[in-house]
Amino acid sequence: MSSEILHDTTPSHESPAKVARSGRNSAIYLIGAIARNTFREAVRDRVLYNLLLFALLLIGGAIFLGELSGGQEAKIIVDLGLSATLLFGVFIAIFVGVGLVYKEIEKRTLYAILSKPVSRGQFLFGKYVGLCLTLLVNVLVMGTGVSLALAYVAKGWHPLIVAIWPATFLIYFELALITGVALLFSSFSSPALSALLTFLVFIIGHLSADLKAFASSLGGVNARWFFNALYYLLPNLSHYSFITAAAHGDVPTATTFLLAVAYAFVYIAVLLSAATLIFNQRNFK
Amino acid sequence: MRVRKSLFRLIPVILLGLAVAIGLSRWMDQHRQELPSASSQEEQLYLQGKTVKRLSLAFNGLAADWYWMRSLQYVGRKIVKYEDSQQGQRGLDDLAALDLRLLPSLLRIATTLDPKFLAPYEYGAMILPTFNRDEAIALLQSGIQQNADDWRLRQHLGYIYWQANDYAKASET
Repeated sequence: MSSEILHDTTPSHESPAKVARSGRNSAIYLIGAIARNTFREAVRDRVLYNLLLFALLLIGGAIFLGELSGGQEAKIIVDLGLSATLLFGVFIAIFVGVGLVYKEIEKRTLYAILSKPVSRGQFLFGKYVGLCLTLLVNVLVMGTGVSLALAYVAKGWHPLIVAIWPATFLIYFELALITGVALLFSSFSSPALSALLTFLVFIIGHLSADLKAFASSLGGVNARWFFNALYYLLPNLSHYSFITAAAHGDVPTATTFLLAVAYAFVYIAVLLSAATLIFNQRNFK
Repeated sequence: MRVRKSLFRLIPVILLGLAVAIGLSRWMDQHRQELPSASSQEEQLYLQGKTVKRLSLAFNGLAADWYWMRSLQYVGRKIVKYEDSQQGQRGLDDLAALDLRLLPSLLRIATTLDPKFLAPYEYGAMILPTFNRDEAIALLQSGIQQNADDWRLRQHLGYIYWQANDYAKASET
């Protein structure tokens, strides 16, 4: 990534000093350049090869489910397809996300990038946007795959072809949130530990309703306060679980969808700010 | 040269190893130790519906589909086993002869994981009354509670009451 990013961050028609002076536009340009290169790097690392596995899973499902599902092919295709979209996406978000910063430090390309007029925050944000772009391509292709598989099993039009898309976009926002968590952990921890912690956050995020129920069932005020605090501080990923509903053709209301998106934006802003804060304190000498 | 040499040495080891593993696996299948208890040969259910729902995280729909297909295969396997044991001499007149003791739990788990999944309720409404009417009624009542707008479940429940000569409840439903 290093040579390209260096080239991108110091375009031939502008001097580095001018780039540094041009304020907001140059910041967007720099973040865009880092994001573009992160996306290219993910493609070069064959991250999108998971789409092949996904395609095989859906083709196999579409062909064999007719025999096994007792007339429930469409529902099972949606459950299988969207669950695989979430699972594959979570693995990409975690395993690519935790290596975003670490790889740059390990290969020493970070020094070259930070010697340019790029702040550490811009670097982190660019990396984050690049991985989110990779995930967006992944999710869009997978969503299209599920729609095509539905058209195949229904031998034509099926209402679920459209009904799955709000749930698909909610999966994307959940993945963007998980990427933020991975980036936060990777800003101060080793990749293995970051991956483990991010995966735990994913699990706890889906069990948050239990945390609240547990808190309300406790007698002690302190314990109740502690579990309530955990419930509100950890990301509540149940806001993005619409796979099962989508399989029945139920779509989230506009308010539910927009609130979930707003929650994702706010939480991601918090995560990236915390990651930048920690990353700014790190000494790379 | 060295790479090619190791390639020629390792490929036969891999192929031979795979062949031996397959042979051993087949041999072990054929000589599997018969367990004394009949119940241990029965499929086991390790988890209750609510626990499975928690453990399935965001994948409860997929887990419900899994339990649904498992319940279909459970009944199918029992029918095949019954027919094999009778050697085609007697037809299957009564599903109670199949000993479908796990079916109510399998359908319960499927519907706990995805309460709006109608197929397990309807399947239960057709199969369960032949050997456990109370389970069939309980399953349908929970289905009606979760899917108040669906008339088919009410029709199934009414039919079960009607078969049990409970005409008052049948008309009520």
